[in-house]
Amino acid sequence: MEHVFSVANGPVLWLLAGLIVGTVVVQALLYLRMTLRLSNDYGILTRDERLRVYKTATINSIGPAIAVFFVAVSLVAMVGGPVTLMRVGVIGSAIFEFVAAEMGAKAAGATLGTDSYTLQAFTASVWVMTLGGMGWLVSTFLMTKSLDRTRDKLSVGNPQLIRALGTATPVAIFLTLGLGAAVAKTGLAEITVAWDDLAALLIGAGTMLVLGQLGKRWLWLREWAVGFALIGGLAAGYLVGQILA
Amino acid sequence: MTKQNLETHYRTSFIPQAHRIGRITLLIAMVVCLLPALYLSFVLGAWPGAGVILTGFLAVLAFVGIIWIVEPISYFPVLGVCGTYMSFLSGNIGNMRMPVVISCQQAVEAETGSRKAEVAAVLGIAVSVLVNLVFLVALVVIGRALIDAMPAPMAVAVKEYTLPALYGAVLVMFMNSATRRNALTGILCGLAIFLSPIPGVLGTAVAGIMAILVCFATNRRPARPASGQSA
Repeated sequence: MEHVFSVANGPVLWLLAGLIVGTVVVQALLYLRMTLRLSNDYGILTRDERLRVYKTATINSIGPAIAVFFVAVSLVAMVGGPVTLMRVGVIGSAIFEFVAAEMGAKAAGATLGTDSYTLQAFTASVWVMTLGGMGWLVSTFLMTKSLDRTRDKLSVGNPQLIRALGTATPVAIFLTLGLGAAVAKTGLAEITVAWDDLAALLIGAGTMLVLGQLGKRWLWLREWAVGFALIGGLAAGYLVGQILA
Repeated sequence: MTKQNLETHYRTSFIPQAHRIGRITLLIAMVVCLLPALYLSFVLGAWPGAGVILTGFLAVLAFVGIIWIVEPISYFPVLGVCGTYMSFLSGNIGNMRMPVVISCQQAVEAETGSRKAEVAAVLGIAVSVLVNLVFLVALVVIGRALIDAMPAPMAVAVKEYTLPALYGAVLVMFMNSATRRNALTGILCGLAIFLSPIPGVLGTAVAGIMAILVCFATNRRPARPASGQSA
């Protein structure tokens, strides 16, 4: 463990994490520049409108960033700062990186956050996170041009299907993920419910449900909804865990 | 004005350049992303073996393989060309980029699909990428100290219950954004797969595939306009 953390928080990994973050920043600045030029050349956005966009984007980014922090903090404890920075900064779904790190460790016969997490297990985690995240880069690289070409056809042809795919699929996925986190099943006959995890799941969902309704009236709540739902879920899981223990 | 008109310029100059920038930066990112794993494996000699990596990778593949393909497609109509390249390099699409795009477009009262909407989206996403990174660097640097300062119960709760709480919240978010019919499709597919003998991680991907198939089956063509009277 000690050795793993001296490497995981070592200067070389910080440097490599910096390179990845640098790539993301350069890309964003290039797009910012070319779009500002387009906007100025053709008078698309006024100065006032540009400022409004910058402000809105900033406000809307801070809320979710705090929510991501809750997962990122756990990830820092497991795999160190640099890997968290580069993985959550690139293709960063903090949840996905967490799962990927766990899968890598498991494949190496280790568990995150324990003494069994050797340098080799850590390396396995990094490989699985890297290859797992690579899929989005590859598919975006390969597909965006044809998506652009067929955009008109897609939107005119069958937009209903696109919306259905984009919403029904994640619902199915997150339902099985949630159930899987709270209910252990070894065959149909043997189902064991982890009540503390189930409480976290239900309160997380319930809080979000309530905040979703309240968010229609108080718009600022929308940005904080994920963070509040997490706090509620964590508290519920901990309380039920304490009662059962 | 000696300039080409906006639409011609957009199609013949802006968009090709956007693809060029996007593809080059993604290629660079793919190479740079591999460096940490290569460094750990071959400089420090901690190569865990191809079998281990493959086992872990397949477990993840079952979990996200479909999402790799479905996500860029389903988010594209909102994100556009520049937005797609930026969002899939920097992540946090559902919880950050999409809300930013919609709120920025509304802030300047841009009509959906207009060039104004697209400019607002690109500027908004770029700013949110930069803001998020500033935040993340701060969090990662402070994070360690924060964990040390955290009371034990809180640390336990964060460690143990973040995933189930997040899954519950995200599930509700997706259901709120879905029509009742699409949400029901997703729930039924998820339940059916969960109650089947298919084991956990694989089951998630299979549930996704099943939802896709059901969507194709039930959305063959826009049979009637969205405002059905008999619904």
